[in-house]
Amino acid sequence: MSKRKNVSSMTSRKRLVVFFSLVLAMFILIVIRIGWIQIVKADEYSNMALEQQTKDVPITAKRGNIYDTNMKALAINQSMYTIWIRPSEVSGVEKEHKGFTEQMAAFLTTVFPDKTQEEIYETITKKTSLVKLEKYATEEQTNMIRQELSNKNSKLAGVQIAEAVKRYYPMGAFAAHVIGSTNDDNNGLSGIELYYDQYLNGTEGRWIRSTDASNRNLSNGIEKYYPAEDGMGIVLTIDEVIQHYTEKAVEQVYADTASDRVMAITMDPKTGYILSMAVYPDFDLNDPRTPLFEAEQEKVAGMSDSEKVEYWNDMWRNPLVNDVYEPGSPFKLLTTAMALEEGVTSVDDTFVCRGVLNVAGQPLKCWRYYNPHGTETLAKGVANSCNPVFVTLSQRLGINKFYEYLDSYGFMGTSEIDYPGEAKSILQPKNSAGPVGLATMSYGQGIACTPIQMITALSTAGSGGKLMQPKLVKAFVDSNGNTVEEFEPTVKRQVVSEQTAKEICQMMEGVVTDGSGSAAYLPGYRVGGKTGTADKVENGKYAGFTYSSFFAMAPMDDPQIAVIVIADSPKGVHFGSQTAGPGVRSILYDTLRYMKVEPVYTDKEQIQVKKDMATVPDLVGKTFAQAQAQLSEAGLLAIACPAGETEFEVIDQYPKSGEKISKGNAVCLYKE
Amino acid sequence: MAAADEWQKYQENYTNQEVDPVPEIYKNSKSKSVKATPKEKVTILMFIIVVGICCIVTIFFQACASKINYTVYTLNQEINSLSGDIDNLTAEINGYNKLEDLEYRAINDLFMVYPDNEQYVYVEDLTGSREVENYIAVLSESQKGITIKKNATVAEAAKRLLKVQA
Repeated sequence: MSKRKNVSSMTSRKRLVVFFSLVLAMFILIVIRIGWIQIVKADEYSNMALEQQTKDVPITAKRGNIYDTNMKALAINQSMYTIWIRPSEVSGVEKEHKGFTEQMAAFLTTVFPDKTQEEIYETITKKTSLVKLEKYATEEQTNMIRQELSNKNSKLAGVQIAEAVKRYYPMGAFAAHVIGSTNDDNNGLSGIELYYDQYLNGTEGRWIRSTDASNRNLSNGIEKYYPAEDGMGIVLTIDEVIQHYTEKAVEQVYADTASDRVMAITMDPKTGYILSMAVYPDFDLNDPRTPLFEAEQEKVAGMSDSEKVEYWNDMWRNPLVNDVYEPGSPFKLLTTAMALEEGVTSVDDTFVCRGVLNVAGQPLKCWRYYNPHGTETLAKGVANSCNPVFVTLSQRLGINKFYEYLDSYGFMGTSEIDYPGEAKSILQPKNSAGPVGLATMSYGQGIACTPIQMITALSTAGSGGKLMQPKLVKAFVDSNGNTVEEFEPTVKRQVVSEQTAKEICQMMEGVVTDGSGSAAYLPGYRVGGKTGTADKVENGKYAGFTYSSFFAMAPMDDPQIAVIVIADSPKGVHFGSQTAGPGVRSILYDTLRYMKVEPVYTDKEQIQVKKDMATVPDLVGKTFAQAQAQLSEAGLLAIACPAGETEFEVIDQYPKSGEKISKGNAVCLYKE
Repeated sequence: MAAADEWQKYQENYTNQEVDPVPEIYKNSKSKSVKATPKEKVTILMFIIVVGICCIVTIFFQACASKINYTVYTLNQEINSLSGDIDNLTAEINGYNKLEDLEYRAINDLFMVYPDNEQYVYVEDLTGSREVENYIAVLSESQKGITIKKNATVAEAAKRLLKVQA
């Protein structure tokens, strides 16, 4: 018995030892494993844990605003909301309450009336984890949803509201081709928005926080906040008021001439700053895919996707920078400047126009070939826009010198304006242009350039012969409006001397006072200009339509503004003086008054101005009918204030009696 | 292992007696009780109380910090919302300030007209002119007690000041 007991106790001991050894071995293995994880793989696992436990939320930077030269906001950011739906949660509730999805769709239709119930139903029953119902919901729409969510028996489920920022253009269809637009991700698509996209966008911030498995914040976890750097604001050289006057003028020209398009640029000739840039028809920047006119909207609605994209790109295109045209007669000013600078002609030099000039066997006509100008001075030739004069000048210059000046005026490259997609000029190669090419280029045909190049070159006359770099942006500002960087005017080169520039200015004035540019005449102001009616090239040949243009500067003793208006394919009357001329006059009249340029009347103009003024008579106590008759005699109109009944006695009037106002203006007659 | 050895010895003792060994029940000998003095008891108690208070205070401040964090978060949310409202109102105001609309209303509803050139009075811009500089000099120097003749013109006063300065 004791032997058996000994054996059994020995066996137990052995088992214990074995068991202990096993446990020890496992323990050692575990220690090794812990060491492996916590020492060898420490970095890797702690990074994985950090990744899993922290959430990295990007903080969207606010896109910088765009301002006009007087800090009036033209492009800003609007806070809106994006409505997301989790279809799985909706279907979950649908399982418990039949018909819930229909109910939810019906409610959401009342919030978003532009969507049908079927559309919403399809969206909220999609087989995805998260679906976007509305990208830019307004505050009111969001409040309706929030209110419904807070109800006990809410008709909504799986709804999430996220903040969104939308680009907004408070002026709507204003300087549309200059400012450009953005896409849904607030990236620039065209214009200034595209060119300065990297400056406007700013830098995203980061919010790093510790979260649990359900994405809830851990109050004791890591929290680091890196604020976003808002994008820089851009201050344009565009003046809102001048832009408004320019847009008004091009719209009027468009209506009067039935042109395909009308465009205009105004510029400060001394600095190169663009004061306004307008193209009509334009578009609303807040809805850049919808054309202005209903007929065009219907046309777009029936297009395929690729056709629509082509149409929109065409609509957004700025022809003043992105397209070339044959400038026609305004180019003659440059030919004249080249010839004066080289000394091959003078202001008093004489030429003879016989209606047709033969160049290398090719007859080149003057526009008044049926009644030739005969003998004329250079100044008269410019005023008459007589082609043979400029052909002669170009022949005297020679092709080499001519091309040298084309390069000097910036026609060999681009104007380097800060705008995307600037087109290059199209010039005949010097080697193959020949005498006919040179001759046609001298009066602005056979050479294609952008309108911005044209106005930049012509404005050298107003800047003492210096070629200025055109600019659309004058400064960057931060979100508090403090200037970060300014862009001063840049002189590219001295193209012609001050003397030549002065002589060109004198001749331009002659065009307005004695020549074809009388449409731009303004009493009290010295206006100089040049008209142009250039044949338009379509599909490689002249198709019968024209680019009718007018370039002007004022006041000629100290030019403050240069303007060019171009009517593309006016119907009916197509001369630049009659199509674009009135537009130029309108822009100059409004802008010079706005710029507070004092008019200086000649004696003759004084008399005319006085003739056009009427003295307001005293109308208080008279009946409306009597007052109206008296005003009519004086060349004035009567208006009842408030409008409506006209059987009353006048108790007050504005302007008051004795005031001098222009004939054709109205006098308000008050009844109460 | 010690218990097993003892049990083995115990078994061996009982082998010849043919009696199944019954394990002795070990009774833990009463350890000598060390009685704490009242002073020590109080000390221990105070220590526990102090630690407890520290813990409670820590928890309290933690809760305050969390509350402040929450308040800050809520206020930040409000600020963001107000900032958004400001942006939207600014957008609305800018929309109403469109020159086109203002001009239309002024001309058609209020019958306003642009002033003619005859109705402007142009004042000479004297900025930087000698006259203005003299005038400014007189104004600033007169505060330093330099007497200027009554009815002196600006030019005369400036001359006097320049003499004094020299």
